[in-house]
Order: sequence, then structure tokens, then C-alpha cells
Amino acid sequence: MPSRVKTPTEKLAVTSMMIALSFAFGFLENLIPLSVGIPGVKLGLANIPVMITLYMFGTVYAIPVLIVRIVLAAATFGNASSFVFSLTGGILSFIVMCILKRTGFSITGVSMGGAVTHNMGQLAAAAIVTGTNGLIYYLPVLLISGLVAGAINGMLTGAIISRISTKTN
Amino acid sequence: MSGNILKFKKKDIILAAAVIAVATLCAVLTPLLSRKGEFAVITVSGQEYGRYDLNENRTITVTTDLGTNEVTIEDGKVYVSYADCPQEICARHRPVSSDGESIICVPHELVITIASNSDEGEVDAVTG
Repeated sequence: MPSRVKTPTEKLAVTSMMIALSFAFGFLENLIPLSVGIPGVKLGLANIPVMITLYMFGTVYAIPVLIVRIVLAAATFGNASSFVFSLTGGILSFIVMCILKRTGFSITGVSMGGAVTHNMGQLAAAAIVTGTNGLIYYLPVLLISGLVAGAINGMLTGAIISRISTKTN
Repeated sequence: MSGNILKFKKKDIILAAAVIAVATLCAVLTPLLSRKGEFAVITVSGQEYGRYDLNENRTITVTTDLGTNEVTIEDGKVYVSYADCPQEICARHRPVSSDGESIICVPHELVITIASNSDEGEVDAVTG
């Protein structure tokens, strides 16, 4: 791939940095009140480092960024229920992102697909936990907000990756 | 390689269009299929706390070991007017009024569900 980072130690160092970044972005995002009257609408900035790792080093390195970030965030700000919600959404979206990446979507498409499935995963988890079907009202808003946030994050991530690769080569 | 991943493809547009189509469909269909609710059912930790007529304006204060929520019924709509939970997601939720809609306060295990007479049994069965 485009970067000059090649040895496992270098990859480990960059991956660790991505975990820290992802955690910091998640925290930053909590500070920005994005109130549209529906829970679950968010920017998804924490996914940017996950995608950078996915594109630079592949799936094996990206999984720890996702999982460690979720565990750290839950241990620091969350509770058991927020952990389950994040994990459900995170794993679902990660699987979809890997599939979309392999089937030839651009990074924007991968990011949009990931964001939309993340929101659907969380909604499904919420529906199961609360045992209510009234949550269907959230679906349109969460689909569109995921699509918009995912598109922005995808373009940002693409721009970051191309900057990193030109700087280091 | 990086130019390749950056290039917006036809597939991406199809994906976006599909999501927009599903969202629009849901947004159009749900209001058509929903009816105006008659009651606000407040459930705490899976147990029914109370059932309140939507036509009657009032404020209900629910205090449990987990915390306090203040539920307000106003002009047929229900919202959480005060909550002492950490993120106050429930208090920022828009007012609900249609059958089946709900506001959930996860930390306080409080669920407000809009119900009508016909599906009274169903709500009890689901929450129980």
C-alpha cells in the first residue's frame, strides 16, 4: 500500500496511534451536541481511524482499532448497555465495510455503507433490548443521517490517506 | 491506488440511492400505517408504572432507585420534561403521539410507549 510503513513494528505503532485517535474522536464527538430529537444521530468520527487502518494495513490491523476503541469508550464513559450497543453496531458495520471494500466500492461507498449498517445495528439492538416496535419511526432519520455522515467521513478518510501516502513516499 | 479508492463510482451512487429509497419508503409508510395513540404507558424495569390518558394535560414524576424522570403530557403529546440521567437523551427526544412510538431512558430503565385500547394486551405481552 501507499505508505512507507512496512515492518510489523511500524505497523503496530501506527495502529496503536489510530486506536488513540479513534478513542479521542469518539470523546470529541460526545462533546458536540447534535440534537435532532432522535437518539443515535452522530458524526461517526471514531470510524475515520478504523478506515485509515483498514485501507493502509488491512482487516487484521483494523479489527483491534475497532474493538479496543469500543472497550475503552465503554470503560471510560459508558456502561454495559452502551457497550453492547456500540459492539453490535461496530461489528456489523465493520463486516459490511470489508465486503464493500472487496466488491469494488470507493472509500465513500464503504464509509456510507458502514455508517448506515452501524445505525441499523444499533436500532436493532435497541428494539431487542426494549422489546418495542415503535423504534421503526427512527429508521428513516437514522438511514439518512448515516448516509450523510458516512459520505463526509469517507471523503475525509480518502483525502487523509492520499495525503499520508504522498508525504511518506 | 489511493486515486482508485477515492474515485466515486456508479456502485456508490446506487448504494446511496437505495438507502434514500428505503428511508423515503419508511418515512411515507409509517405515518400512513400508524394511528393516533390514546394512552401513554410508562414502564420501569419491565413493570408497568402507570397508564395515562393523552387528552389530559399533566406532569408525572417518576422517581425510582435509578433516578428521576418527569414526563409531561401536553396537547395529546408526551415528552420527558426533566431527567437526571447522565446524557439526558430522553429529555432531548421530540414529543411522541402516534400509536407504538416510544421514548426510552436507558439508564433509568424507563420506557414510555404510546398505546391505544386495541393493542393493550400486546403491549403488556411485549414489555413483560
